[in-house]
Amino acid sequence: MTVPEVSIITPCYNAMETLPKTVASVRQQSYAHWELILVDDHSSDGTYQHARQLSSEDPRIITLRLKQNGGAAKARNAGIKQAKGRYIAFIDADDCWEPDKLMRQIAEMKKNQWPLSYTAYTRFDSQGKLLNKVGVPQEVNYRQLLKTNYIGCSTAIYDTDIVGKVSMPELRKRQDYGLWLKILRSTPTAYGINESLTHYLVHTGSLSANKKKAASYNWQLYRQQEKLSLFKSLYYFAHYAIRGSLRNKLPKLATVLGIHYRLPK
Amino acid sequence: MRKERPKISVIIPLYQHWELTEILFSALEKQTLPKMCWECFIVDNGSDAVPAQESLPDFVKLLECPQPGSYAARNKALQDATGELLVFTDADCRPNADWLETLWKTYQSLSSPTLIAGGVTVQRSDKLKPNRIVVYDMAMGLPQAKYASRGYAVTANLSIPRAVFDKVGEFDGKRFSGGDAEFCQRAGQAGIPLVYIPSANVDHPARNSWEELTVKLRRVKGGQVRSGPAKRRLKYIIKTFIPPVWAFWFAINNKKVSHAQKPIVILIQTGLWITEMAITFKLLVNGKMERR
Repeated sequence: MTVPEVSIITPCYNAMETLPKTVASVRQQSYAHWELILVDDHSSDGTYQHARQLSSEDPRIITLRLKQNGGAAKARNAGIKQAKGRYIAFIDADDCWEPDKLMRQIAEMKKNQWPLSYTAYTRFDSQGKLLNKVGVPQEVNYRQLLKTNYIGCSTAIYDTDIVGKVSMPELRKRQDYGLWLKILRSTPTAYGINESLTHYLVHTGSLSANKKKAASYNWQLYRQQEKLSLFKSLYYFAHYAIRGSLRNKLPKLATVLGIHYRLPK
Repeated sequence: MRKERPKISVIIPLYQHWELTEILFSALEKQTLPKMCWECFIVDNGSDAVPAQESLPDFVKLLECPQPGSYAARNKALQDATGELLVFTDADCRPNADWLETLWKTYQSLSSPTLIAGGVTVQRSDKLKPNRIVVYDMAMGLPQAKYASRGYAVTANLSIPRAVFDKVGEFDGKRFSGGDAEFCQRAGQAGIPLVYIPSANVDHPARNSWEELTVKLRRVKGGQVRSGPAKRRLKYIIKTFIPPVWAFWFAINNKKVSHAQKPIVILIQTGLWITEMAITFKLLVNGKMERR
């Protein structure tokens, strides 16, 4: 058995409909030295059985199951703990990668000794309709990331040789954001590839309600996880809120202001 | 190739630390005894996350034992195991390539059912710098030779013929610790001897933090103070409060560490004794059992 270089972590919860496409996009990667760790978060549909089937077809696919439903953070952490690769990559069970994603990103990370990297991505709705492309800054540090989370979970990869094995804070939401911040406390900069290498699935639902919830999780992250003072939390929260709505409502202005990034034509 | 009935069943209980199995599995993969001669059971003892059978090597069979305690887990595998010789080791061990072959040859050479204690070498991991705790553990950790001379052995490397289980029963499944010594004692009382075969060796990683040392101490003390007959418990309680003179003597005469390192070993032993007394006191008052 050869040791994989990249461990890809996928938490799965009742993901029967989307998981096959996600796994197919991993298996179609032009880069081959990976292991895919599917962590079933105690699904009640056939996700676990499907994952086991995939494992028996392809030895690079490893299936873990949580004894009880624990949420995405617990599931991803179980996967991280088991990971054998030098690089830890994430892809959620409803997202997909471009075939060259790993090859491109790992090559850059190796060449430049990047501790943490991310890429631009394209958002799709559940009907498969392209919504928009989200660009990323070339680099981001801890304080910049506190203002806006530019790092899409399914785009991120970190190097355990540089930052060690880092687990996600066990928050109900925004654990991925918490992880990037945790990494950026020990290393100065994360680096972006401003090229869409990931497809994100956007679930339709009550968007405004979700935003309120997201805002409240963000506040909790600043206060409880990052232990920012009330003043600092307010400062970063204001940035988060204003930047967020500008990027959403007035993307052109946001681009001019340098808080929104376009992909190069 | 027709698979005949395996001669050996390897049994390994596991709680939480599935990441350790990478080293274990590659060591089992390299065994010189052909795979058709042995089977291997991993008994998951209630971990939060468990790999699917499909994600494990072909030679591993996954069992689950929700009842907490490694001895309950080992007993669980006894029900499924078909080998004549039951071989126990731990998930953090790395068996030598000729481990099973040596055990099997030893088993065949013995005329009556006998417990076989294999060697356990505490090795420091190549990745970490050796600190004082590592030095201590290499000198004092898991002294299988010493145990064997007293008639028992640790399940990090202990082989038991099926015939012995038939005669004296299973492990005490209620114990979190010390079930190996208790079993060996029972076997001894039934007239079953124990041989020590250091060449059937497994490596065991040295612990490297004070916390790791005391976690084990807590578990061991829990086993000694909270289970077994009252007389035995009393013996252990009294023993705890006597200075570990014998351990000091063992440390001074230990050939595994240099002269310069011996004071370190003695210092840590003293610290452990003080901790041990505190733990025992707590357990007597009302403490929680440690099962890690």
